[in-house]
Amino acid sequence: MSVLREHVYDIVVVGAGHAGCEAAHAAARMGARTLLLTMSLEAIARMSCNPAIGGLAKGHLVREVDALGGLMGRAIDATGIQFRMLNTGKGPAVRALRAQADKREYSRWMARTLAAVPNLELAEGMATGLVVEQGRIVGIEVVGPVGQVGQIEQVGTVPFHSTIHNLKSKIRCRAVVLTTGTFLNGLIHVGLESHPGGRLGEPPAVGLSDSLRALGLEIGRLKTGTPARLDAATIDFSRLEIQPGDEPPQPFSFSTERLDVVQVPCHITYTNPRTHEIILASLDRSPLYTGKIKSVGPRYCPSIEDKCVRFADRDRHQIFLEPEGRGSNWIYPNGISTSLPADVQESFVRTIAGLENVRFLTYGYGIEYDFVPPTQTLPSLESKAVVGLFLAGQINGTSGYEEAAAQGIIAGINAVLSLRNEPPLILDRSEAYIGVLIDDLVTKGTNEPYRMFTSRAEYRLLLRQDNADLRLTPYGRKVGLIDDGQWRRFEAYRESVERETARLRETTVKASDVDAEYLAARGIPPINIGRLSLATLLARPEVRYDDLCALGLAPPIVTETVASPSALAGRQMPISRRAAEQVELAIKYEGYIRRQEEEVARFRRLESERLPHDLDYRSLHGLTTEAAEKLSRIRPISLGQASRISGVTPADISVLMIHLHARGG
Amino acid sequence: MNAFADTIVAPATGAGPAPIAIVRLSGPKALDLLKSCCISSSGKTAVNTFSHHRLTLAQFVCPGDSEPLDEVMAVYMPAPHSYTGEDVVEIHCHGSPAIVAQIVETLCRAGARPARPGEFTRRAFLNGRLDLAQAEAVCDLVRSATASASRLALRQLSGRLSARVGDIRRQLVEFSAEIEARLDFPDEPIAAADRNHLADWLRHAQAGLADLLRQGRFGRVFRDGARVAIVGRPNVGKSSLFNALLGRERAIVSPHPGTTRDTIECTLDLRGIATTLVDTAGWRAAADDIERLGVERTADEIAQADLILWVVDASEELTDEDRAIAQRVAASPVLMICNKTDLPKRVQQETIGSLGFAAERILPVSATQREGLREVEEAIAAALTGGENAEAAETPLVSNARHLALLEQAHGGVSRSLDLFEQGVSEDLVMVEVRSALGALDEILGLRFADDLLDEIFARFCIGK
Repeated sequence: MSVLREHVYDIVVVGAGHAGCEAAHAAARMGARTLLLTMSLEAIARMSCNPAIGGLAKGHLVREVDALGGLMGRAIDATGIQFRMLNTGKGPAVRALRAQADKREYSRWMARTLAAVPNLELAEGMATGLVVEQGRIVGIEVVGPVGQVGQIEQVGTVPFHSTIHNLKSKIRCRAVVLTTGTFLNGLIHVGLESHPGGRLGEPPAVGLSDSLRALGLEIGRLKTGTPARLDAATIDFSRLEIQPGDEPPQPFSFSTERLDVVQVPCHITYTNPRTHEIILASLDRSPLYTGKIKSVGPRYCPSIEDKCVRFADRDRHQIFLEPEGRGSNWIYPNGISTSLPADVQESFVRTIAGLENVRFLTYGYGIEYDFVPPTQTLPSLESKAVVGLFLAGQINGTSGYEEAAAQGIIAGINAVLSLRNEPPLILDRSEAYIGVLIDDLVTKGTNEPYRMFTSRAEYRLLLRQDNADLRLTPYGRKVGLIDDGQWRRFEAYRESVERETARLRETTVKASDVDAEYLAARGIPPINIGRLSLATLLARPEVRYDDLCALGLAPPIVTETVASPSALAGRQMPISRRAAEQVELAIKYEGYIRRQEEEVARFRRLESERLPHDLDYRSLHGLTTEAAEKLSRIRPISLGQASRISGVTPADISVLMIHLHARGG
Repeated sequence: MNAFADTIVAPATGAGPAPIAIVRLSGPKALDLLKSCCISSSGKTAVNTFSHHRLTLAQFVCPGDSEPLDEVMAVYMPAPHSYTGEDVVEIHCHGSPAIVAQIVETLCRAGARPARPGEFTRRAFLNGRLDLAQAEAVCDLVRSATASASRLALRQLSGRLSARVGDIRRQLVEFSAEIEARLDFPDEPIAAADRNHLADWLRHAQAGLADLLRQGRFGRVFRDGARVAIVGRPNVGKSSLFNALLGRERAIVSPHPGTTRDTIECTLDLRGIATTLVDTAGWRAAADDIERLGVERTADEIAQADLILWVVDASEELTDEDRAIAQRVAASPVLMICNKTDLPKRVQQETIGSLGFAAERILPVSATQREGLREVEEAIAAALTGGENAEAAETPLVSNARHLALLEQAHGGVSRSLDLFEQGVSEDLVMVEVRSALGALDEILGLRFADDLLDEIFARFCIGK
């Protein structure tokens, strides 16, 4: 330890990936003096795997992060090169946005945006240990040139890794957010060869895991992987199926008015029996199948060798060729993640249509990394063992940029709230996918990289991507992440939705006043009741809001998110396209929504039964030993959370409830 | 946090004659209800003060009556210093079951609600009035209930139910997996599913649930008894049939139509089934207000009954009223009783046949001559038990009302999801129903906590009384 520098921050965020960026941004915006520490300022918000944001459940998370005041939605709107709404033929709960990103531009946009945030400093360095006094974070040990580089503009001239041995600093701070991704003791596998690394060509983070262990935290290990990257100039796209974006594209962020973007297509190709033959013949050189990789990888994102073994009857597997940027020659082949040796990768990839002569830019690899099993973490994302230590992203056992961002913004918010001695922001399972995500992690833990699915949400019909702002923006406002302008626009939008929904419910028309010719021309069955509300009319499966407009029963639709008062024409205030869609959903799915709301009311009864933090479960009469042990370890905040712990039975919950209500119990 | 708005009433002492009985009221209106029914023991003045926790002598009067019903001692225990933690009144009266019943009935008419089994204890519990020892006693019961349930499981009883419910659950999980995979992975080239094959999962689950429900209902009939309503237009001999089945005169039988203006009921042991026979008012275009009231009551009885005995007069042609009633009862299990076979027969066999009743459900009877009654009894028993014998019902698959309610809920969810799926409604909406069904099955299997489990515990076990 040659140099000991003293710095004072409120919060240090370790890692500038998708979790770290949101955490640092939220903390600084809320007024905390924040340092975002990264091993490479070049790699801010880098997409380590596929160059895309969103998808089923993930797109929901992006909108939720945006609704709370986070960055991810705006970043992808600014740098996306293709936008698609998925499942448009299905119901509203499972529609979701996905976009292809310009990977470099995405990273740059995030770096620029963070550099402009007051109270936020960015610096290069590697966290090697936590400084803890009396169970509370007081600082962090860092190796690297911290303090020499404080602003993003200066980056690039200071080669960090060459100076890594020179500086070891202790930075004083009051809270730390760890977002270490795959870097904690990362070990990269290509075939039977392996070497330490956080990502291909980047060193791992060492030291921190031991520091966490010394503080009493259990450390686990997970595995993930990524495919090779291919040179677009050597791919024959002419023979491949093309997948363009939607026209017009829809944005992620509620603050993006419209997207003016020339979209870039993806292409689709397939493996074939010859591909599978080569792969299966090379399993003796696979680190997965020789037992070299012992950690568990994600079932929903298997390597191509896994797919070939587990689904031997399939004669082909689909591959999406995703461009990594506009004009970039880097292609990400989605669907053939692998850790087979380089020569095997070359031979099997070149059996694939369009890729016969492809040149490899990098090879695919598997990576093992340390994580902190998340049952050691509170629903606020603060560690139970150390006050002021927050964890977010892959360190909690998740996978995916969106899952990371969702935890990042919550960790950043709660780190600040804890410094202010205010209660944490905890979203429950009926409010947000973020709530489902964090509750699953801290209650059940995970033994594979956890990815969000819409099927994980019990109240899927309420947690739609289209109403994320209605659900969460008031929370974002409360913690200070939604500025006055955003809030005014949100309120105007919410009011227009409520007003129009009420009007449709209250306004009735005589059936004879509804243009029968129009209905017939649109294939809508004639109305056979004398008088009906506009809501009843809209609730019919064949009727759309646009039909009400055409029939003169609803105001004109304007494209802006919020109709400006100056656009007032005649008696009826025009309504924005988004508000009209929201109104239509609320009315069309009213019955289902009400059913789910009733279930939520039931769910909330148990959630609202708070369990004391210091309850001694082992002394409670009537609990099984297993339940007492699990409850002592997880320390749930509510009966509801307790009921979701595996091994805690309904009988145990009855017992807990009785003790909660017993006099002197 | 657990304030209940209503006031409940029930005898706090056991059934059967005893020197003294206690009627207990709990809830915000307990004291008002007591005052409204009491006058001072000496004269005719109202009793305005009941000192806390002290017995006060008073006369209990049904409002509107001139004579007091009983001389009672009453005590008022204001919240929170009472058993339930609410305002509680206890009325100590003479122990005749008739007096107890009338006091409870009077208080209900004045605005109290009859307490459900275990409800006082439940309120005490939710208001934090159980002490630790009592709470632990409840915990032990929870434990032993679970333990005995698992012992039972070993002995195949509820084990058989779990296995059946588990099977049904698996069908729904298989369906869900097929659906959810396609919802969450729209880009994956998952082969389009054979919709009819998928619907089969739901159909199997639906059939399995319907079967369990049917057996559960028959099992319940043996355990809890059944309600059988006698329905028909005036003067077809409903009351004669009622009396004949009871074997004694109870209902007023008169030759004038509309004599039985209200319902009368009596419970008899019918082939091992505790059968409550209900004689209803004659059904007709009502002549006066009282009769109209009777008709409304009859409609309620039809809705509640496990079985309807629809009585027609075989010595007359079927009237429009008869046909109206036939329509009314069509949705319920019905036996058609052709009464007055001692008189010359007028109604045509074809006419009866045209109504669509199965032959074994049409029974000729002469209530006055006591002919055909044995066959009626047999038919009632067969209809109530679905042909199952009491022995089979001794080991029912579905052993309690909570399970039955959850099976109903699951059956409803599966039926609605099947409808939606067949209509081609988006799968995320179909799944709302499937998940609700799965949730109900999970509660039966003990995979999910249900907060009404405690209601069940307090209803089943006598704790802290």
